[in-house]
Amino acid sequence: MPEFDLDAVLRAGEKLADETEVLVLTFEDLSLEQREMAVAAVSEHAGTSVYIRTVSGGRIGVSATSDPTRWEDCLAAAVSSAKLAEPVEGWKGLPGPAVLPAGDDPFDPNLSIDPDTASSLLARMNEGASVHPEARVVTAGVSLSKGSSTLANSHGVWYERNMTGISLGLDAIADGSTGYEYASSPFLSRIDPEKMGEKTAFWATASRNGVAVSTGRRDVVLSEHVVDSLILELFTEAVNGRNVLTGKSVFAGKLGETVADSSVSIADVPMDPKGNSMRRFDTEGTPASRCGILENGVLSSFLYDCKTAAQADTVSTGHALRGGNGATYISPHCLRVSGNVRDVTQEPCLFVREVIGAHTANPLTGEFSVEVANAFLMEGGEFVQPVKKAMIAGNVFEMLQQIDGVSAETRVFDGAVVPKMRIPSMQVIG
Amino acid sequence: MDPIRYYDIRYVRGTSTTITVENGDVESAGSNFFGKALIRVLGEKGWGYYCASPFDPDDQTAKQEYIARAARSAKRADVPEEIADVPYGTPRNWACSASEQAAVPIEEKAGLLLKMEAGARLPEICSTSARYSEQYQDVWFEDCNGYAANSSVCRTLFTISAVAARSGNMQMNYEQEAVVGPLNLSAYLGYGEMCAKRAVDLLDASAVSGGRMPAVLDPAIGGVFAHEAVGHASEGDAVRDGVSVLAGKLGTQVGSPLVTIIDDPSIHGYGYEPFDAEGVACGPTELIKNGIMHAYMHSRETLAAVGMETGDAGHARAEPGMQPLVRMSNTYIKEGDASYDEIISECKSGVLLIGSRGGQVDPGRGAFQFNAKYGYRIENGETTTMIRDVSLSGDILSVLHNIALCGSERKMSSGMCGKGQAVPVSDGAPHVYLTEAMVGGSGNA
Repeated sequence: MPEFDLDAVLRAGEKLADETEVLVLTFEDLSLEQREMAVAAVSEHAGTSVYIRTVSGGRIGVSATSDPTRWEDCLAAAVSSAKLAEPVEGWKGLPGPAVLPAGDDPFDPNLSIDPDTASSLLARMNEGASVHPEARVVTAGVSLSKGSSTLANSHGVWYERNMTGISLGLDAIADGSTGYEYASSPFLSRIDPEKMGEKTAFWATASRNGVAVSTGRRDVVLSEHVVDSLILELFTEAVNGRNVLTGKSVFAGKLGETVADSSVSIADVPMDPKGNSMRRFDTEGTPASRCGILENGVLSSFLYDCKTAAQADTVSTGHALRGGNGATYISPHCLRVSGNVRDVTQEPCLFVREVIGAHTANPLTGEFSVEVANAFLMEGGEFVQPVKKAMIAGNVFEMLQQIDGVSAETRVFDGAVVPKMRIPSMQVIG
Repeated sequence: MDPIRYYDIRYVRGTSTTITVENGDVESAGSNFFGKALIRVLGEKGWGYYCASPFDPDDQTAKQEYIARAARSAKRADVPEEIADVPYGTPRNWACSASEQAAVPIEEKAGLLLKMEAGARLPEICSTSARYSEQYQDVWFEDCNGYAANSSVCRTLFTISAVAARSGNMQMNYEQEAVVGPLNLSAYLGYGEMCAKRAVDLLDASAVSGGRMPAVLDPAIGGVFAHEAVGHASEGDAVRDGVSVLAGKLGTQVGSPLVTIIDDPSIHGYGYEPFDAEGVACGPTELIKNGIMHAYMHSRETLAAVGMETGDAGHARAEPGMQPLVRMSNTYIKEGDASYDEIISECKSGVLLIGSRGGQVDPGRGAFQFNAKYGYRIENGETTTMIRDVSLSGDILSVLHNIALCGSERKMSSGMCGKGQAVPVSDGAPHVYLTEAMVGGSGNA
């Protein structure tokens, strides 16, 4: 397919709007799906997505397409969408060209998008899982991708970013007990397929023959997965500038107030070399920079894109990402959590490796009650007994004030580098 | 040329338009134009897929090239696969193209949405928002045997939400309607006020203290129970892979004789598909019939793998450009004969759960969880105080036996189901009485 002509969109947009912006994402990916310990399917995909925004009189119009041949329809839709939108109060315009921070893209030049690379990763996961032969690997998958994005606007911004991605997933079962692991990274050297396979099979086998626990209060240690999917997910919603502006955040009006234990800090560090999504600029061209959100328990910043920053009479923090219809949404790039580092499983606790239903937590109030999976009673850092069935319940925002230590070891997810957390006296329903 | 035992092409083209309003203003109104084709080839041992975007259905040279690429990929596969030979069936066509809806100017729809949202601005409401979305999707399917089918379906939905605040206490509520075919917003303007009143009511609700107790599920959350606890575990891929607690249970009693659960892609619900992602049109599949495991939902591939007598093909669904997976469509618990008053009275002491905030299941372990929007305590056979943030979890195989009464009136609710890909579904139930359930909440006993 011929290369997409961004200039053509900007030239056409010049006649129709005050400002025009086009973001083009091209990608190719290859996936292998494993069943019965062999490759069952191979998928290839290549494509281009185009996101167009126009601004006239502070009214922002958006549109997107996965079919670049329809960019003119897309531009026309953005222009008519702008007519319908309310003018953004205090709109200061799309960003102009700026000096971007130094640093690398999340791109591995050694990654080749080929079936042999993917097959080898699958085989290495299987090898890792074979350490626990009582577990049966059910399915596994490997996906390799490579792509680039170009952002251009009518103020002269023209930024490019290259990305690679490796995603691995594996699930196993042993006597009705299940285990699951997932990992992704832009860099091959950071993927450890053997360990993933071993851990998956371990969760399935070690969780068998669980015991019941009684209803009551217990100290709980949440795994990195649970901290990410439950605590950071709701925290991110509460510091989202749009939610703050529209009255959908419990943190609205609380900048400068203590909202967490004084040992806890959370910052977004877009260029963190340990992260998965290093970014020098966000999807509307604002240079990315470190943003301290929670400093020693005190709420110090919310996250904004250009539109919400204008409405809040502040500046964008560079947190615009792009949704399916072309509109921006606000999201962190690489959250770093710091706290009182200690051996969180040394003292007796209920360790919860996974929960079922994290997404059913109340994003406004922080209330949740979820089923645990791969949970264990632990003492002295050792697994003592798997727990068969239990729920944990609480309030994420209250838990931020009760965090009793974080682990030194962390796991890297797409938007965060996350430790385990110890929460004293949580409600456990057995 | 690489060996090709079968191929098909599913091309999906369409437009989706979304309007979002917040606190009285149009926040955004955007459109997405999409067009993707999945070319699927069954080689000697397994599948190869190629997703082409953009795709020109008239470009025969490109089509042959894509088929060859998918065939090359299939050569890498090494798991013996068969596809069941099933009749394609006759699609049940509802009037879903909604051309009259497309003709209504977007400004008019935005105006109605603003009007609905304005109705939510009651005292103690600090934030309101609403979203309207319409999607027009045309599907062209063809396979190597010369079979071809096409469909044109419109899906429309709106969501309204309100946040209430009083003395530092905040609560939210949302209401949603989603249909196939046209949806006239002017018929739903009262939803704004209804949504806001519930959010204000929640300010006085308390958290329930968790534990094992009897529970009554309303039709919305009863539908999620059918979907999460039974539907996912009845999907042919989970059964084939041995990661469903319902695998191997055909013909055995898995629940109370009062329980009949059906999945039906042909009914006029949000999960309607004239034909599935393999071109197969199917009607109702009775998953559980009078408490006995009766049939699984299948694709042609899982039907061949699990056995021709184990259920129905026609349940393969896919996002544009993605591979078909076995999925639910419109899933429901069949009505019984109990009245609502009888159910509450029989429960005596427990909780009534109302509305769904979503759920999840681990079908291999048989554990599920779902969360209600709100509910009421049941004391002495009557509903009393309002409760919030209440969830329910359980083991599939034990909870199905705990169903003691099913109501006589069923209602369906619409939403999206995720399994790597998101597809529109509906689910429903009558009121259902469970003699024991694990209820979760953060209140202190």
